[in-house]
Parts: sequence; structure tokens; C-alpha cells
Amino acid sequence: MMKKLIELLNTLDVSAYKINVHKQESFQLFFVHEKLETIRSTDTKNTYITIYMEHGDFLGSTTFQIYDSLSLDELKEMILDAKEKALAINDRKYSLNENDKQEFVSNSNFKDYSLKEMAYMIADELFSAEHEGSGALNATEVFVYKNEVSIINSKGVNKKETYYTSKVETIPTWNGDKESVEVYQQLNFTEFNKEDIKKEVESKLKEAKARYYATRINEAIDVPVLLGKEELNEAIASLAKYSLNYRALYSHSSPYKVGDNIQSNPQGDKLSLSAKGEVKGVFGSAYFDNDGTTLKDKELIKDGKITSFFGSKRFAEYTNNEVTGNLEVIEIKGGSKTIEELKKEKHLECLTFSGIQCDPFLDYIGGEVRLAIYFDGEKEIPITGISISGKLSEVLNNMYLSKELGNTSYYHGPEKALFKGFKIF
Amino acid sequence: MGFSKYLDSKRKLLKELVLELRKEYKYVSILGSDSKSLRISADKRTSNITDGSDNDVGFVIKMSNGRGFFEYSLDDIDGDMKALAKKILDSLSINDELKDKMIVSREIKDEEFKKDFLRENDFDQYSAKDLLKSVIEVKDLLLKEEPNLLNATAVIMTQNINKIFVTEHKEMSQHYTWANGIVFVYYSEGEKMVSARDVVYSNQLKDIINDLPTKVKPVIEKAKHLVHAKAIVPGVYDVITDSSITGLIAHEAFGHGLEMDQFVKDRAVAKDYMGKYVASNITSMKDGAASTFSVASYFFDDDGVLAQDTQLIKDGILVGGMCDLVSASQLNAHATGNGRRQAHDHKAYTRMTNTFIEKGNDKLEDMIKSIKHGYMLFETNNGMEDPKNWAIQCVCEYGIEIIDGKLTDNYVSPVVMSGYVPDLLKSISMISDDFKIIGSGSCGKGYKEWVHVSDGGPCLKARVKLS
Repeated sequence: MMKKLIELLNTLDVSAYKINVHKQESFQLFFVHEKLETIRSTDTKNTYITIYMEHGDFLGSTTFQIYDSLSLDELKEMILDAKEKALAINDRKYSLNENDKQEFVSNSNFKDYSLKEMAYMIADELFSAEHEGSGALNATEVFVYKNEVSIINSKGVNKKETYYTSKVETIPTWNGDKESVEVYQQLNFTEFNKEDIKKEVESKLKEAKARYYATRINEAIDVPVLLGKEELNEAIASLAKYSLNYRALYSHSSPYKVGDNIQSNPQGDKLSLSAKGEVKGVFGSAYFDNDGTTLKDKELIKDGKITSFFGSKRFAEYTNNEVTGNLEVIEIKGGSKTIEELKKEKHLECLTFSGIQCDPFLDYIGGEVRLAIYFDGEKEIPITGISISGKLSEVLNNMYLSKELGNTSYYHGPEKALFKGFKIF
Repeated sequence: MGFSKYLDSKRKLLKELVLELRKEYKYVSILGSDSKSLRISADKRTSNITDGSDNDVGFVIKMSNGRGFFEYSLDDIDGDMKALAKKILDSLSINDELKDKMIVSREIKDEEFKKDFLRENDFDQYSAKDLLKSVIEVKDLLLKEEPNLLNATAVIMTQNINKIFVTEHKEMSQHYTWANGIVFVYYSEGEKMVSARDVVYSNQLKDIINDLPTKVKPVIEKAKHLVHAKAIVPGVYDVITDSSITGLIAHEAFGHGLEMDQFVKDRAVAKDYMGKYVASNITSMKDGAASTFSVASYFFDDDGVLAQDTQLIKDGILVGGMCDLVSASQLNAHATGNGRRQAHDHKAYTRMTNTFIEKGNDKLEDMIKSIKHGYMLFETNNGMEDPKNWAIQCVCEYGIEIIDGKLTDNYVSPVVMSGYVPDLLKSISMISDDFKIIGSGSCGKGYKEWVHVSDGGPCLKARVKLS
């Protein structure tokens, strides 16, 4: 199929082309409580072709999906149609990657097992996590994937990566005489590690227990707020990822520019943050992006000041910046205090959110908290039914990051951070 | 534009594969999809015609052995069906320990039914280049209306859906279309920068092309208000919701809790409230692909169950839920046509379709007049469900302050509505006599499995916590 496709593309007078292929096999288990409800297996391939057409001062491109079931005549018709579409696009010219060949094969311990065996092993570890009698896992879904990604273009790029991933979604639940409660857990990993799975599940079961005993409070609390790595990723790392890229810069949709102080008057730790290609143990690590650009790490914020943006070859050229590729992982530098030190004074540790909202345009950060632990200086009290909100600029100026570091799917950085300036209600 | 010739050509093979697999399984179905999508956009500096994220071409085979369920997804069905059946069976075989852990489910009835469904559309009359011309014109209109916009984007997204469903006794096909148009602007005054958007939706491209330019002035006006918006003082307020926020409440706060796969998993507290008051007695709510006409108005769901019109709340009392085939077989309930997949390589779950609160008898102006101090809330940003514990978080793009029964020019943004679902629903004291369904929504199950949904209804007066 690929050979015939390339032969066809070479005869149809296109300026350039790119072919992205993602082959994926998977084995999936779906449980209701601890009973097995559904077993799924998939064997799929997604192939996308991008046609580039130079015309006058412009370069137009269009991307479309093809299928193995298409005949050569149908493929030819689709390519000719794509040429017409690309000729209608009057974008500034940019160059494509050239003469770059690489192949990466994951060294994950997944490769020592079949997908089915790996799914069984993961399910066993999930359900063997230790918990007291009233805790249980519900609605557990285990996905194990083998992925083969390849990128070929007409300028000599030929890149391939084979890697394994697993995703787990489970609902740790606490049951008792009163209405049971649950929390949400998602685990994404590329290495099978029994201890990590058990540790993560046991930690969430403890949160479920805390939510069960959590109470609503009537009196106002005015204490610093402690957030975890998931919220640091959703708020600060995502803000950097979507605001500090060349595309946002080119389209004037970023509220920031190089040299801006993201912390105008830092009273706590200064924020230093980088976009990364590969970080060991981080699920979203990659070697190259969708254009076949080899990823290059880039520091984006140093001591609270924006030092650079990052992004694809096209938008790097448009904005006269260094090509880094579309980096997916954000790394935040650790802070000045241990978690124990951060927890020493009165504080509210928010463990489970409905979803934290962070809007740099509106200078807003906040969300509904499903579970928090309030430390009143003497004892820890699990509470629920509260919300927090603050001015993003103000809480960033009053931020203390933990020395201890941890990972989420696309984040490496402090496990916890303490913020002053949130309203709790 | 008619039904997919590709899927038509597969009918005989699909039946052959079903019969081959029926030798091993009590129930076998195959869903085939040949659905294509396009995204055409133009902003100040770039334009684009590309396949959209709703492309879905492939097949999923679903089987039951009388206990659990088995699914196999693949790109094409071709060649020797005996060999393919063997490959599928091998791929889904499990060890004895897991077999012992399987659920027990009710037998699925496979009744004789054959029908091809087709909804007329005008997608053949417009080329991608026509649509590009249209979005470029709208983008130019935006920049002409306000030359100081930092950026202006116009987008048209199309879905051309073809599905076939085959069992031993059933054979159905459906073809329908949907399109969304979006205008999006970035605007700044002084140090402050804001974004604003507006949407149009229809199953006819003619409507999108005609309606999109009408959003130019409103979206710029909105951006100019939002740039002066202030943060809301957190508190509990009387509010009026526009149709979009009413839909967000119906969908996010309550709808997810009535997806009956959550009943199977004991993940929805609503299960224990059937026949009881869960909302004020003027509140009624529905869901269904056949309940109204919008983006989720398919003819049959991904389980091959025909579209239905399901009453969820009637006069404040919880009377029903939504159910997919697998959950129905475990609950001894009937499937309501709510079994939906993100794509052929994803599992089907119980999902909402078109979800709304039914209209009431009040005039909007009377509702606003009745509020001494509060807010009218507009436009869904996002929301997150908690069907087990009935916590809610609904994020509105903005609110306008109401003082002494009158809307002011005081905008607040963003506005996060949170609290306890029954408190919110029972606080509904007035419902307007108008109705609007918003056909541009997408919904995830937890944090994944995205499907297109609509929601909406009339304006509601309620009392909620805002921050």
C-alpha cells in the first residue's frame, strides 16, 4: 500500500507531501465492581496524507485521511482533489524538514509480554491494592496499547517509533452505613511497575475514605491553599503550553510576550519552567513531532520572567524563532520547601476538584473542590462542598513549590505547591 | 448525497461474518461506519481545509456469550470470513480465572427488522472551496467591523455520517449530516485581552453560510463588554440562566446521573430517587435522539436501537433514565437508544443525545423583574459531573448583573456555578415560555469518549452559588 501510494504521489505533480501513519493494537478489560463486563481487542491503522502546493508567493496545504480499502483510482481522485484544495490556501511559505531518518523502539518492559498478559497483570495489581474493608475499586477500565508511528515526507524524512502505553481509569469508592462516595483516578504509564500501581491506588482509596468522612463547613476559612501536581499541571503547565507557543504568538492569541514578568512581585518561590521532549517516566514523552521534527527542550520561564516560546518548524519560521518541535511535556523546577514544611502552618489541602479553571486573559484561577483536608493548626479535618477562586497574578506572586518532584502524564515538577490569596467559600 | 457505497458493498460479507461468529456466541452484531468530516477555517494570517476529527471508517463486532460482552474493532472487513472469525475469536479468548469473573446478563433479543434511513441535505451543493470562500468573507467582515481585533477566526465544520448495523435478523443503515459554524475573536483594550465566540449549527450548509455573518456584530460587541468584565464577588445569588446554561444544568448537573450504565456500577445516586421529587414541581426534562431535532438526532444508536424520546423528570419527579444495550441486559431494563461510541475503535457507553428542560409558562421579562439583586448567566464554557455525590461545577462564559429587576451593563467573567444538584433543581422557581436547543456541544464520559450532543431549554430562575 505505502509503496504504491508513494509512486502515485510522485506522478501527480504535487510540490511536496507528508504521510503520517499510526498503527495501533490494543487489549482492553472493563470491570463493574470486580466483575468483568466487557473484553475488547482492536487492530486499527490511521493514515493521513498532507499535500503541499506552492503557488506564487504562497504555500497551501491540506490534510486528509486514507484507508487501505481504497483503490488506486480512488486514491488518485483524492490526491487530485487535495491539490485543488491546497491551491486555494494562500499561506506564507515555510520549509519542510529534510533528510532526517531515525527509528526508535521502546525498551519498555511491556515488550516482554503480550498485550493480553499485560492487561491481566495490571488488573491483578489494581485489585490487590491494600485497603480496609469498606474501600473498593469500581468501574475499572484497563487499556494496553502497542503503537507504531511513522512519518515520511517527500524531502527525505523517514521517522518511526514503536512504543507501548497503558491507560487505567478506575473509581476508588468508600462504602458504609451512609451514602457511599467515590473519587476519580486515571493512571497513564509506559512501564509496568507493580509498586507504583499499588501506591497510586492505595493513595486514592485513602482519599475516598477521607471524602466519606468529609463534612460541610459553615464558617469562613482564610488560609493558604495547597494544590497537588495534577492541579499544577492543569493550571500552570497548561497555561504555559497553550500560551507560550509560536502558533499563539503568530496568531496574536497569547496574552504574553518574551520579557513579561509572569510574577510581578514574587513573595515566595520564583517560577522556572521548560517545555521538554523526553522526561524519563513521563507518559507524554516523545522523540519527534507530527512533522518529524526532532524535539529540542526549551526553557520558557526563568525566575518568573518569560524567556522564550516554543513550537513547530512552520510557526518558528513565521516568528523568526528557534525550531523546537511541538513539545508536549512541561517541567517545573522544584521549590525551596519540603512538603512537610509547606504543611506546617494552617492550610487547606485540596485533593479532588471537579476541574480547576485557569484563565490568563481574565486573570482567574479557581474551581469546585470535592475533597480538601483543612489543617487548623492542630488537627486535620476532611471537608467537602467548597470552592476556591483567586486572581492568577496574585496567587502566582505568593507561591511556594515543594522540593519533592513527581510526574503526571505530561508534567514533571513539584508534588505540591502552597498558594496565598485564594478566597475559600 | 446518498448512503456510503463502501458500506453498501459490505452488506453480504457482514451477514456472512455474523453467521460465522454466531456458531460461538449467542448474540453477534456488526456496526460499520464510513463517516467523514471537514474543518475549514480562516483567520487573520492563515487558512485551512483539512479532514476533521470526526472521521471514522471501520467496523466493530459486538458479541455476547450470555454472560459478558466481547468487542473487536478493525479497519475493513474483507477476504475469508471463516479466517477472520477465527482471528477474532482467538484475539478475544480469555483465561479461566477471568471467565469465572464475568457478569451475568439477560439474553439480547434479535428481532427481524430491515430499514434504510436517509435525511436529505445540501452537502453536495457546496465544495470545500465554496466553504473556504465563505469563512474568508466572514473573517474579513469581522476585521472590517473592528479593525483593532488582534485576531479573527471563522470556521465551518461538517459531519457526513454513514452507519450500517447488521445482526442475524436485523439490517439497518443511516445517512445524515450536521455542520457547525464558529466565529472567534481576540480583542484587547489597555493591558487586558479577551476572547469571545459565537456559534451557528444546522444539518444544511445553506443555513451555516447564511447565519455565520449574522454573528459578526454580536461577537464583537460581546468582546467589548467582556474586556471590561470584573470578577464576581463569590456568594449565593438569584440567577436567570440563558438556554445554554439551562442546557448545561440539564446535561452536566443531572443528565450524567441518569446514564444507566452508572446505575449498573452503583455510581449514580439517582437510582434511589426514581418516583421521588428531585426538582421543583414546575420542572420537566427529556433526552432523546427523537426528542427534538439537533446534532444528536440519529435514526438508530450504535447498538442498533431506534431513536427514542425519553422523559427523565416530569413535574419535578424523576421518572426515567437513559440506557444502552449492555446496561439494559444487566438491569433488566429496556434500551433507550442511548448507546454511543466516540468511534468504531471505542466502546459504547450510555450517552446523552439531545438533553433539555421543557419550556414553562413565565415571561423572561417577568423573571428578570422578579430579581432584586442577582445575575443573568450566559454561554456554556464547560462543566463536570458527579452523579455519585451530586456535586456540580458549571462554568459560564459571563454573567450580567441584575439590580432592582433590570439588566445592567455590569459584566462578570468567568462565572463558576457550584453546589449540590438537588438544591439547585429544587430552587427553580420560574421557567420561561421560550425554548432553544444548542447544537454545537461535545461531551466526554469522565475525561474521555467524546460524542456530539445538544442541550438547552428555556430560561430558568434559580438560586445558586457563584464564584
